[in-house]
Amino acid sequence: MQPKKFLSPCFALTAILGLACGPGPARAEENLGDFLTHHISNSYEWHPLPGVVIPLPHWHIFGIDMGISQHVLMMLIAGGLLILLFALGGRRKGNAPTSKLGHALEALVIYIRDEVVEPNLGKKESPKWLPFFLTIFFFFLTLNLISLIPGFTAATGNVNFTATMALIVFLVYNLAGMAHNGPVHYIVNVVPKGVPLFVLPIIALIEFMGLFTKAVALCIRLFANMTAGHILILSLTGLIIVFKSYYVAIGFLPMTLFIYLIEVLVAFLQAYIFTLLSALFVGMAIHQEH
Amino acid sequence: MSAEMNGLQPGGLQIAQAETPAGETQTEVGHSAAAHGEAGGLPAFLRFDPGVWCWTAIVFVVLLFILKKMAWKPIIAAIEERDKTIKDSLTEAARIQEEGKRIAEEQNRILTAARHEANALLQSSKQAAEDLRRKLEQAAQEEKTRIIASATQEIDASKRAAMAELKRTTADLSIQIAEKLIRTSLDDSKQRALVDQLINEVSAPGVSPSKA
Repeated sequence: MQPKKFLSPCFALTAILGLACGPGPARAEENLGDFLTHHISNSYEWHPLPGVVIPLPHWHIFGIDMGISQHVLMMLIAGGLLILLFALGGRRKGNAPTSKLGHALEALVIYIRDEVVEPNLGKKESPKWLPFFLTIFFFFLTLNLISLIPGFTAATGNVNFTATMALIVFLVYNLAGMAHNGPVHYIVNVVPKGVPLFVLPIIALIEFMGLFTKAVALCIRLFANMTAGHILILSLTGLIIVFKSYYVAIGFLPMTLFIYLIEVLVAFLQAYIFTLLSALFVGMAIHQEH
Repeated sequence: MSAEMNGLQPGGLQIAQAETPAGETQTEVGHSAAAHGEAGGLPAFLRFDPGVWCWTAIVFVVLLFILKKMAWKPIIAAIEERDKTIKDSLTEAARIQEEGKRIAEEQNRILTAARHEANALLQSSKQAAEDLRRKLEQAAQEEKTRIIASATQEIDASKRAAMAELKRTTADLSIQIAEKLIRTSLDDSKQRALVDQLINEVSAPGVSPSKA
């Protein structure tokens, strides 16, 4: 590779990245810890472009701050984007979509139906559950992907968001299990049959804890993956702060780009894993005999 | 970063002094996170935020309902319809192929049968023609025999009739001759006896006149 051809875009990118990722060396007091925490934490400001700060509203309802914080804004943007995408891609002639976008969305829908929902819930139950899992998948995927756009942040990297979604899934699989098998039958069947009596108390304890740990694991997995990915990118970018020089980015930029591309994969992967595990848990709650 | 944000984390992350070399800085980030936890109060990104809980639930549920109505139902209906069309087309194609095969077999069968029938017909008509020829030949033979027989009979009858006619004519002629003779030379008794004798001889069949 010719160094001159390679360097000039690197300088440009470095400058853009440096400006986008904060004030950089201009502020002497800035340190890497603040830089990281600032970029992965929720706040009531949005920085869509370098130097642009949009204050977001605080609304107190019943003592809860129900303001549109940055991550809530991301959720609203993702929701609006999804509705827009499906409105654009939803046009079809006969039973085939007319646009490439429609085909792409349909491919994902078919994948979720055939590879995630049907294997876990069975052909009979799956049509009823498809909308729930499809919404989870597309909502998470959109949130994960928009979080990679500079200026946007990761709502899926907010532990409050993942905890709420895990709680919803927790309620859904327990209620579905109770509705499907009867409340008493469901609770009793949480402990597998044929366990020797002397280990029964331990097994029962583990199985009941398992009901909760499944949901907790869902929450932590998504949060940790998304936050870790963003911390990694920000740490590499933050070396500008550590070295007090934009020029170090020339070295770290390819690495940052590499991690960024891995993050695109992770965005799909984590949305898929959350959906798959949710479907698995609902399937296990409904079909307890297996 | 707003003043509020800075207030939330009082000096927990006072590390990464710009003068320190890179290696040390990175290790200190880890230390600082732990130190921050111990210092009381979680880091900002781990703090409980009921607003986000409520908004997440609201956004998710609303999105679920909107997308269910405008996206999932029509898309899944279209996919299922398409799957069904494809499956139906495949079974139809298999059925048509089977039908084609069956028809070809039927055609072959009919063709073979027709050929056999034609052959049989040819054979039987040849046979019939042969039979007819033989029958006609036989009939002709019989007719010939019959005609010959009847012709012979007719010839015999004609011959007999001709003989009778000849006999009758001869007698008449003889009588006429005799009459003439008698008229001219019937004078004496001796001659008269001769005439009688002649008459007898003539009237007696098979007796030639020369004997007298």
